Amino acid sequence: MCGALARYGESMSSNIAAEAAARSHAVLLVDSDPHTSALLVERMASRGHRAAVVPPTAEAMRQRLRFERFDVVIFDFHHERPEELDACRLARSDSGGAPVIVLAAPGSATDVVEAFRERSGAVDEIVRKPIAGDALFRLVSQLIARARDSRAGLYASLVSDGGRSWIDSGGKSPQLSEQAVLFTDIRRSTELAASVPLPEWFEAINRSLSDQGTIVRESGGSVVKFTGDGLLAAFRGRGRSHLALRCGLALQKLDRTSPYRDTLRVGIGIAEGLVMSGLIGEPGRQQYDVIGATVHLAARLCSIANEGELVATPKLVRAAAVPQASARPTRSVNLRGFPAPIECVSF
Amino acid sequence: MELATSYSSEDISRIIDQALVYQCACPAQIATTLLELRDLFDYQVKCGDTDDTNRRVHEAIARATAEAHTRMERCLDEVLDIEGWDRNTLTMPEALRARPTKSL
Repeated sequence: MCGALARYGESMSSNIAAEAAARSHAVLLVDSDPHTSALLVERMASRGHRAAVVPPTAEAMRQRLRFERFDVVIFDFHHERPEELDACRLARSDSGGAPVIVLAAPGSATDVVEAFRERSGAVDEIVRKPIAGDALFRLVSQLIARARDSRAGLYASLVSDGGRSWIDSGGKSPQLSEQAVLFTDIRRSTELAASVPLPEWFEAINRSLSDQGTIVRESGGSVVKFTGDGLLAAFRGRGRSHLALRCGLALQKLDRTSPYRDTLRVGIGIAEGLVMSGLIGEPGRQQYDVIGATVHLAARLCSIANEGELVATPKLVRAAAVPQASARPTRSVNLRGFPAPIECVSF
Repeated sequence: MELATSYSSEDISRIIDQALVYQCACPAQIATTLLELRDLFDYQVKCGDTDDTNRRVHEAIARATAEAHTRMERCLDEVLDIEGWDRNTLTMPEALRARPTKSL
């Protein structure tokens, strides 16, 4: 060992202040060697990071990962103990998506880790030993930033179009407004869910909802929420009835032309009227939603629509002024929750 | 042409494996250099370019690389002896392993 270590320590301490300004990360070190793990813990701590050490055994890792969340997992690979690499699989599955970095010596040790990475998909990056300068710390910061971006994107995808508009407009209190409300619902979904393998069913629903969402947006509406096997969309402003009915007709067309038309047929219901929009839920977990009799009416109309059928109120159809070549005569129906029969038009 | 080696690639990995931080692992630096020399040698003897000039270029580089490799392997022998490594298991002495932790 040479005196360069001391110089290295000095240069490292000059960077501490800058690093400390960055956010502290929680690092899980997986290492069976007490000396290397102690060194890594000290180096992490010197950068303001909180590091915990765990041996690469399934029991110890599960216990640690059950109660703590880490931003990154660093696994110190010792080539004479290749079986320990399996700890990376556990880190991948139980760490909530934390990036996994493996430290390995060049040559055959790195070859072993590369092969494991290929096989398992449980390793994000391999850092070669001896670790040069700040390489490991830079990589840790990059991977954590990447994981955060990815998580932020995932969170954003959980917010509906309506929710985003709500946030962008700075809305805080619920709003009353005239809107056209459209519901879709996949018909025979209970029967299909019981007969189609769930992964296939899940994928088919996602494809259908994705196509439906695209049409809603292209029609000038916004998806308020996905309802499991359908969606609720809202159309605001002048021309809302026209846009909603055009959207419904486009969804019908999609239903007839989609590659899974034989299995996934939707019913569609549209109504127009006063609705209240805003955030609903508990303080820590809310979602944007629309409520009111109009919403219930659209849902009921959707529920009586047959496969591939669109049912709307005559008032909306008149206001929409869309050529009604395929409209059937107006009829009266009894809808649950509504005291008097409701007139409706089917397409 | 073949490169004579007294340390296998596993031996080299084992030496580097015990050195975590570049600045406190002199044997690992030599070991890393040996791996690089081996890569360079392999490239020179395997290059498909066989016209006379290029063949002589490759041979000259391979010869020099082999000499450097032999010299660096001897250097590694010397360094491991000086530091008191276990030559059978290629294990770093305990006192040296604990040292970087204290120094930091």
